[in-house]
Amino acid sequence: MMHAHIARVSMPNDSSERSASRSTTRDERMPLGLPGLDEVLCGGLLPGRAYLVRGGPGTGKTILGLHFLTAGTARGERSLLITLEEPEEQIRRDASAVRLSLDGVTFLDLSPGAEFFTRDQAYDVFHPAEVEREPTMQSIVRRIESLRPQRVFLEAMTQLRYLSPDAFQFHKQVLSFLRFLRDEGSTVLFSSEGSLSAPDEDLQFLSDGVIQLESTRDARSISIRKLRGSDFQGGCHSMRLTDHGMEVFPRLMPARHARHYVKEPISSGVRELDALLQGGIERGTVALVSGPTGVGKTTISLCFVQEAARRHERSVVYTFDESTETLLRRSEAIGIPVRRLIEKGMLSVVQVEPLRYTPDEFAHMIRQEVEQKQTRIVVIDSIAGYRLCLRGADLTTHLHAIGAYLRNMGATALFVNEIETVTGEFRATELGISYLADDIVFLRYLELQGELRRAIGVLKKRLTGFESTLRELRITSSGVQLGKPLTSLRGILSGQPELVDGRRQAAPP
Amino acid sequence: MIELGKTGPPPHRAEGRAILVADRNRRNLELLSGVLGAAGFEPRTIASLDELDRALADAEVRLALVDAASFDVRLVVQRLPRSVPLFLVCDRRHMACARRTMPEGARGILEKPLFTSELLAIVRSAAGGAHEPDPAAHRA
Repeated sequence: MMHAHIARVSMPNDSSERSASRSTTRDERMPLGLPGLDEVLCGGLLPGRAYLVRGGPGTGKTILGLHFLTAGTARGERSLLITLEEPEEQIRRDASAVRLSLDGVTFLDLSPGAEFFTRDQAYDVFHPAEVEREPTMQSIVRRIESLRPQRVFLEAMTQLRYLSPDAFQFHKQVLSFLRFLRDEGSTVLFSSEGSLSAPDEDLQFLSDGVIQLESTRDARSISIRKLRGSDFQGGCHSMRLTDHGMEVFPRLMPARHARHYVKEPISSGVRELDALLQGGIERGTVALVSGPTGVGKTTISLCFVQEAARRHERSVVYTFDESTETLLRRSEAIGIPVRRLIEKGMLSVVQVEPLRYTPDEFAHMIRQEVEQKQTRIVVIDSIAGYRLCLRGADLTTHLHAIGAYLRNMGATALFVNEIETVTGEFRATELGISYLADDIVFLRYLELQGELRRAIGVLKKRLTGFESTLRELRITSSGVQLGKPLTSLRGILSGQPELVDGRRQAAPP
Repeated sequence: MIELGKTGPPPHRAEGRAILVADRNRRNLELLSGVLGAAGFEPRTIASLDELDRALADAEVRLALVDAASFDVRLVVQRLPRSVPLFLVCDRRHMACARRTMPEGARGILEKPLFTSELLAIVRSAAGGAHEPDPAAHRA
């Protein structure tokens, strides 16, 4: 007797595979080995269930399955990969290319061998269901029963559809198959392409969860469509396939993050600026530093950074618009020792290439700073640069999420906002984001006696009062200096102030 | 599950259960042979017309299953004893052609892909009485 299908089974080299010391109990999660995705799944998959991972060609279904299996072997669990499409050798090569070791993974290779073509094994007299279904299923059953794997990745369930004579039979067969795997104590991940020509709605109904992978020209994403018995983070989350495998960047959910902190004012280190702000900017607030190009927005932000370093608090500056080197040189020229702060670990200056990152990836960078490096001040310089990351997505939504997250974590956000109008009618921001800010510090150019000068004021402060007058701002080689309140001028916001007695072009007091 | 038997003539002349299976596709022959053999028949497979005479000489054929796309049915009918019912096997694409050759002497057309249970029911009905395992063999 000869079976129509030849199963090739390879065992891991590790002989301790059968004596896995750690078994997963029903009430704990099975991580997928991808921190971002495990966070989206609230810790991982529920054991003893079957999950569908679906997506078009090249979206990362196999890579995700390999992460799932290798995360299991790392925990001492028995992992089985059943392949109905790609041969084992090919999968091992692909895994090796992304530095995933499949040493502990057992393979059941049911993919068609080359002999199917070279020895003309094609047939048409019977339906494939008649010829191949039972040997295929028997191979799987035997392997499951002998290995009793905790984790099974089946690539691809779509192939089993061809072994069923009709939709009803397929439905029943898959239900029965998944039941068998669950009864054997396996947690199953199975893949499907789900194209228009081969829809897989039935598999979505049959599974306990659906992980959707998508890929566009610009970005990849992952979303959870269903997860029986568990909460999960909804929406699309950015995903990247790198030479280290898959990386998932969960969408920022501020409500899931909180840290206890005291809402105290933090000083800028400039006495007059602190006076303007009645003590400084409160910890855990979002401040908008707004003004036209070159007026000193970044410099004002760096004052808070420098003062934070004196308190041994770390800051990060994400610079979208200028290079790190330019920022360093510019800051050193006005007496702000940015390079030294970096060397002391009190500051990171991160030059961000906007089109390289998605909003989720950028949020992930911020989270790493705040959660892992205890960063207390986050400067985004500038909002216009950050906007490029969004590639058409809603700026307010994403900026709101970052602000809310930083508030919850007790970090202070300084959003540098460039307005296009250098002189003329005053606007705090041209992006409609004023409401996001707890504090708005604005900078203006003034024309005084034919000379371009700078003024700084506070437009909004949610937690405390603030000085309602403006002050002249001077940026010199010895740092930032603020003059006394400009009480004798009016029309400052128009850019062409006049003395309160009506004379224009007055000198500042 | 379909179990595949060996193709080609058995070592001795079979009496009463021989089914002639004619198809150019070797894999189809293997599969049909397996199904018929498992059901207690003795399949005689041929992949070309040249093999027909030898197959007929080796066994008292009770029924012929001929792939309509592989063989000139008229030539098969000419050599087959008149008493042997012949069924054409063909896929949907060749159905019209198969229908045209029916008057040559075919009893019916079986459309591919076949289902094992249906095939065996037809074969048992047409071949008559040779479908159960030989009681004498059991006794022996």
